Amino acid sequence: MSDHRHSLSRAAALFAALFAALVALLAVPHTMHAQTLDELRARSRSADSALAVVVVRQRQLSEFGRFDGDGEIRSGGRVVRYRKAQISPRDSARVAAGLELGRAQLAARFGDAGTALIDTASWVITGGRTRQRWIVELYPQRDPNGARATLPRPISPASVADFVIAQAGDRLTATTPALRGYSGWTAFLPDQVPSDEIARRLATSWAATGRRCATRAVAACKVVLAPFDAAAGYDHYFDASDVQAVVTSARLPGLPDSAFSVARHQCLKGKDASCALIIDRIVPTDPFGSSVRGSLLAHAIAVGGENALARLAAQADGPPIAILATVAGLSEDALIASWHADLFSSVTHGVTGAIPAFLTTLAWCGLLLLVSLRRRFL
Amino acid sequence: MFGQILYTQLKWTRSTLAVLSIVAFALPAGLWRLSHDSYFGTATAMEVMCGFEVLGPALVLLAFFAGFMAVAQPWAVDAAARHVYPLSLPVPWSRYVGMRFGAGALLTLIPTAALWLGCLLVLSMIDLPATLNAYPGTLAFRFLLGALLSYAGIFAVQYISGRKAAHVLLVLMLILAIVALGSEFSGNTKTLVRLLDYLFHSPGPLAVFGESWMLIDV
Repeated sequence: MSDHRHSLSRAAALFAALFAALVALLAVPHTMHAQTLDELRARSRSADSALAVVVVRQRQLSEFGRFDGDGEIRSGGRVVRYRKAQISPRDSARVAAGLELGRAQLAARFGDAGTALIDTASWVITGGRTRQRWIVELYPQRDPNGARATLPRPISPASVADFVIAQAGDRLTATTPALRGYSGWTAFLPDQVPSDEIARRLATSWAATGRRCATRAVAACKVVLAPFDAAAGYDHYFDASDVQAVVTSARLPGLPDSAFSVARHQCLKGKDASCALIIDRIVPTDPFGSSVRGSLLAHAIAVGGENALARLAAQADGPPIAILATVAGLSEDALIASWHADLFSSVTHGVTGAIPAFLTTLAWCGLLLLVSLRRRFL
Repeated sequence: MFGQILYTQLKWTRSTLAVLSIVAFALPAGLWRLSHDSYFGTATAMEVMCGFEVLGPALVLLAFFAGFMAVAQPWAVDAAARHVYPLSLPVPWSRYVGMRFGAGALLTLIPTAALWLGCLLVLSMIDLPATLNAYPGTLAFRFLLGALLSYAGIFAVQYISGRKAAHVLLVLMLILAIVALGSEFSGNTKTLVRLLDYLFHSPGPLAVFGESWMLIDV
């Protein structure tokens, strides 16, 4: 009897679910009807206006001068403004300590030329709560070249010091026109982008020049490490085997072009004739990125030592690689060879790379065996 | 006596060793086939790297499992007979345990050799791009070290805590989970990161698992 009742209730539940689904589907024709071209245009207009609001808000945010902080952290010649309601006194003390720590580290590495990069800067701290966590951002005031950094919680002087050093790196490349294409913060904080990652990026690059550079071709490395030139022509960076990767990653033409789209589709399917049709119309994107070039800047600064920045200030004009060679105190070819050797020696897969792990594992296994022998469990 | 212990341990664990060896042998070629249209032919450097990117983590798990099974099965056989056989032997307990440890450690060489051969097989089928190099020997060596370390760790837990080994392992995992959850909810992940750094970087106990287990790299 109870089984019969159970099956009846299941049938009723199924029927109710089916009915609810049909009722929900009744709304679909209405929605479909609403999507005429005019409706879509109206919707896109409202989306555009919403986007405009976001852009305006963004612009307001970027006008750092309007920041109405009621607190100030003074450290040396710098001022960091913040709202007392958002940042606790303990955190503001840590920010002050971090500023001093960052300045001291810059001074130790580069002397006065290093600290001069940040001494004119003043920063703002803002706080905001997202659904998950409390975010504190530190950014330079009235500096279009400066980037924001989200400070990890709890705020530590070390993280603020890293921010200061990164800002110094960014200001160095922003104020040296020849080095605009080089990532400044990775040059000053090289540990943030490990060398082995850069080596892998070159070895697996979708641009033939990058792969040739990975095989120690100095001329190819000079192309890779010079600022990216989108107008340089296809052969400057790529060869015939890269065409599909270039077409996949390139920016598409702004206006809809069905012939282009068809040719692109055919090209991606492997038809070389279609690739030839569109290859002159596409604008390739930078296949290497500023962090690859930043690794050369980092290497030149590391080789150049404490006086590297002073030498850079003395010769800030000219081809970037020549400037960096001066900074390092080497010839261009010697700098690139040294950079390459440094980059690829960081990948330790040979037998010598496994020896520390072997010794460590052996020691721990011996220790665990000794512990096992010491006690009889029964 | 060590020869006898090695023989019995091989006999008890032969099925598991066979399965582990087959998996270790077939894994490199299988993963390559999954990511590529065929076993043979040319591929770009990026395709080759992507084709084997799962191999490292999969081998870490396999090494851990190999170590675990090399302890669990002989222990289960001994425990089924209430350890009468080892206790009846005319040798001290510590010597018996040492020989048991040595026999299990030696047997981890079998899946390691299978992995090495599997790596050589898959490498013979691929036209490696000029920018990449293959490291079958180093990968097999890391696998051996990983299997040995997990074997030694599980062995220690098992032979120290006896029948309560499962409870001890559970408690250890529970502590790790509490630390991870606590640091995540408190927003202070620094302690957890520091702990993991200590564990997975030399001279930490799990340093071998913290290295990159790559068959093909620059």
